[in-house]
Formats: sequence, structure tokens, C-alpha cells
Amino acid sequence: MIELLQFEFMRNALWAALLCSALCGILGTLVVVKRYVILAGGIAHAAYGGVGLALFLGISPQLGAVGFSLVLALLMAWVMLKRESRADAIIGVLWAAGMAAGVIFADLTPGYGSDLMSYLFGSILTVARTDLSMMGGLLAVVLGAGLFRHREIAAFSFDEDFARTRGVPVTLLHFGVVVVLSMAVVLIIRIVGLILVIALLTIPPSVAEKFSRSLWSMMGISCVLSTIFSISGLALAVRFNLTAGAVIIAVASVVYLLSLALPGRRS
Amino acid sequence: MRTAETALSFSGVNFSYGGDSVLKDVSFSVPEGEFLVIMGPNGGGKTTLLKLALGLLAPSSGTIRIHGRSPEEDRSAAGYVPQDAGRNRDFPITALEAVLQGRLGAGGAPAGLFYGEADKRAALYALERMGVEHLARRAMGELSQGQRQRVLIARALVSEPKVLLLDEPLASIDPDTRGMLMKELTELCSRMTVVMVSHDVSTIPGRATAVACVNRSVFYHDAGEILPGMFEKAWGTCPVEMVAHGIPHRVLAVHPHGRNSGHEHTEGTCSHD
Repeated sequence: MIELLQFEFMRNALWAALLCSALCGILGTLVVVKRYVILAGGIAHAAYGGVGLALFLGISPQLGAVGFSLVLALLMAWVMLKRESRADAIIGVLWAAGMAAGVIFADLTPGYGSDLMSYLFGSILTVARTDLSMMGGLLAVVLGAGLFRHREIAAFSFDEDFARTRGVPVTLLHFGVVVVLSMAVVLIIRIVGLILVIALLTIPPSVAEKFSRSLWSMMGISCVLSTIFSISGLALAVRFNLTAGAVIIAVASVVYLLSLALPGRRS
Repeated sequence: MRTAETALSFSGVNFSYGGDSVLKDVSFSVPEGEFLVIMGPNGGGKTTLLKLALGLLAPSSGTIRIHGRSPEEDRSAAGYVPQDAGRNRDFPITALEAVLQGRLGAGGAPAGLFYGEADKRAALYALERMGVEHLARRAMGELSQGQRQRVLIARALVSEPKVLLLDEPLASIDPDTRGMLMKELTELCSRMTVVMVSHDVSTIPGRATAVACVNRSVFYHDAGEILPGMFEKAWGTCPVEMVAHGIPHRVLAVHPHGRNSGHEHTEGTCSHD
């Protein structure tokens, strides 16, 4: 493993795993406590539609995915505010429609089958420098906004109605979190694929929640767990020549199952 | 005759949701220091009324004033205790941290990154007022329903509101705790106006100073009793079973020296046995 680090692709993969873990630990915590899991899944699948559209138009797939999932994410966020009682069903429709659009556009564009596969299952070993700097930039934005507004974010996460009565800009935070989440999901798709992105956003926080007394400790523990899952998954994948994304999630799932048996700090 | 300032007033308020009229032509005013209990059937608009008073919902027409200003204009005037459905039981937060959130915004902490010492003192004092300061460092998920409710009331009190608005604070709380909470809320009335949504008719005698029955319209009664005819207006049937779920009628008997002694409640008011 260590000697593999002399290769740039391996060093990039390691950086990608670290950045991805930090983003997943922080945003995944919000996804879990705010019950945004369906939303995260919807964004991930909508992103596939963007990739297909971008290939069809001959523009950068990453750009296509960002644009397409941003538009659908804002639509989903709006639905969650305005039609709360049916938001999950409507998000389900957008989820399927985005995915179907991706498949149809791919059909219409000859010769791009393998590229689309990398968005389905991830390709951490071919992560480019630009992906790393984009993830780093997004993490800086998340940390900056998070530190500056942590009290408001905690109040918004715990109790939206009460937060509103205290003048917290709940609607703005709702859309802000959704926009950042859609950016992160698009970038993380490169690492573990859209099928597995939900697991990386939900498993570490679900384990961490058991041992946390604040949102911030839940985020911290999630980041550490996510890093452990990613690095050990990556090492196992290289050692046994398996798909890295799938092995990362397999490790995470096993730890999640084991954590269910552990007594938490809270009963 | 009351001479107190008006704490909360609705005038000609209508509210519709998705084309359905939820509240129709609601007008009433609550004098300062009142303990108002809002009752009514599920879906009758009780919670909507509270959310309108808080500025969480905007009326389709009409005006709402809290101490002379609109709810959005002066957020510090109202303290909100939302219904605790236990939906957020697993949320990682300590009781102290939850109460500190009440210091945010207009009436709360100054702009800055962290809560200050003054915020923490105020939060601990609010917890102490509700008798739960020893639970400050405990996670909300570890607390009993009654303890959680006290923490949520402390969170509303920490911003020193003039009007405290509570949504079903007694739901899923055992009868002993319920009695103690009612007593504490009554004591708060010396410093602020208390408006409480409740299902439980038995909370009214001796505690509430006014009752409002909400079922699309609002019937406001400036007295701590449920009076004959009041529920018939709101529901068209005997309300007691709808509201009290089988609580015997005698709990509703009018105190002989009640303020509205001109009205007499008789067992015959509701025509069933």
C-alpha cells in the first residue's frame, strides 16, 4: 500500500478519499438529522441525467451534472417547503425522470458507454487534480459558512418553526444546504458512484449519532469514520483487485451493523 | 373590568390553505396577564391560530397584533413552545444547548460566533425556573416527556417574552406532571400572558382565565369556565366527548362564584346520558 503512494493516481485517490470523507461527514450529518436522505438520492440520480445530457451536447460531463442537479435540487427544495406532505413522492418522480433522461441521452450518443459506467460505480483511481481542487474549494465554503453561522444552523436543524420565531433565516438555510449538498453529491459521485453516494452520506452519521451529544461532535465522529471507511476500503480494493467504491461501502455497512449491537451513550 | 393593555389581538383574520378556509373572520383580543386556553376539534385550526400569532403563517386577510406590533415586526414579544411530537428525539443536543437557541435573534444574543456568558447564565436561570437545571448537560433524547417539555418551555422563556404561546404542552404527559406544569404556567401569568392550545378540558377549572373554542371560527369566552351553549356553537353537538374523550361532565361544572355567574351550567345542557 505505502509503496503505491509513489504513483500520482494513488496519491490523488487518497486525497479524494480524505476530502470526500470530510464533506460526507459534515453534510451527511445534516442529511440524517434533517431527513434529507430521499433528497440526496434524488439529487444523485438527477445528476446522471445531467451527465447524459452533457455527453449528448458534447460539453463537460461534470458541468452537465452540476447544472442539471442544481436545477432539480432547487426544485426539490422548493417542493419540500411548499408541498411538504407529498414531497417524498414528488422527489421520487424527479429522481426517476432524471435517471431516465440520462439513459435516453446516453442511448442517443454513440460510444460513451464506459464513461457513464464510471458515474454509476465511481472511479476513485482516475480522480483528476481539478476534481480535488473543486472538492477542496467546496469544503472551504462549507467550513467557512458552517463556522460563521453554526448557531443558526444548529437551531434550523433542531427545530425549524422555533428557529423562525427567533429570526433565523430558515428558508435561506434550507436552500443553502440543498445547493451545497447537490454540489457535494455531484463531486462525490466521481469517487463512489451515484448508487453508493447515499450510503456514504448516511452510514457514518448514523453510527456517529449514537455517540454524539451535539451536532458538531456528530459531524466530527462522522468525518473520522468516513476517513477510516474510505482508506481501509481503498486499501482492500487495491489488495484484492475489487471495485474501490463498492468495497468502501461494504466496510461501512459492516461497521454499521456492528454498531447496532453496541450500547450507545444515550439509551 | 380589565384595564390591562391588549397583549394579543386578531381582527377580521381569515386564513385559507390550498383553497380551503381554515379560519374565518376571527376577531378577539387577549388582555395582558390572561391565561387563555384554546380548545377545539382536530383540524379546527388551533395550531394555525398559534402559528398566525407567531408570524409563522401569514393571514389571507385581517390583522394580528402582539402588544401593538405585527408578529414579524417584533419577534422578541412572543415565546413559542411547539408541540413536542418526539419526532426529533434522537437529535444530538443537550438541554442547555437547546435552551441557548432561545437566545438567538432579536431578543437574544448579540451578533457573534458563540453564545456568551450572559447567554449561558440566562439559559441556566430559565432551566432553574422550570426546575430542570440539574438536567442541563443531559442529552434531550435521555429525558422523559415531561422533562423535555420543561426544557422547551425554558427555551421559550429565555428570551423574556411578553406572551408565551404553547401548543399542546400537556399531550403525552402523565397526570401528576400535568398538574405541576399547569401550576407553574399559572404562576408565569403574573409576569406574562399565557396562551395554550389544549385538548384537555380538565385543565380549565381554576387555572384558565379565558377559553377560546376554535372550529374555523373562534368563540372567545372571558371566563375560566366552559359555559352552556359555547360548544354547541362551535361543534353543533355536545362537545365534551369530542374534547375530553369521556371525562365525566362534572369536571366542567361552573364554579358558583365564577366571573360569569349569570350563566348556569346544568347537566341537561348536553342531551345524552
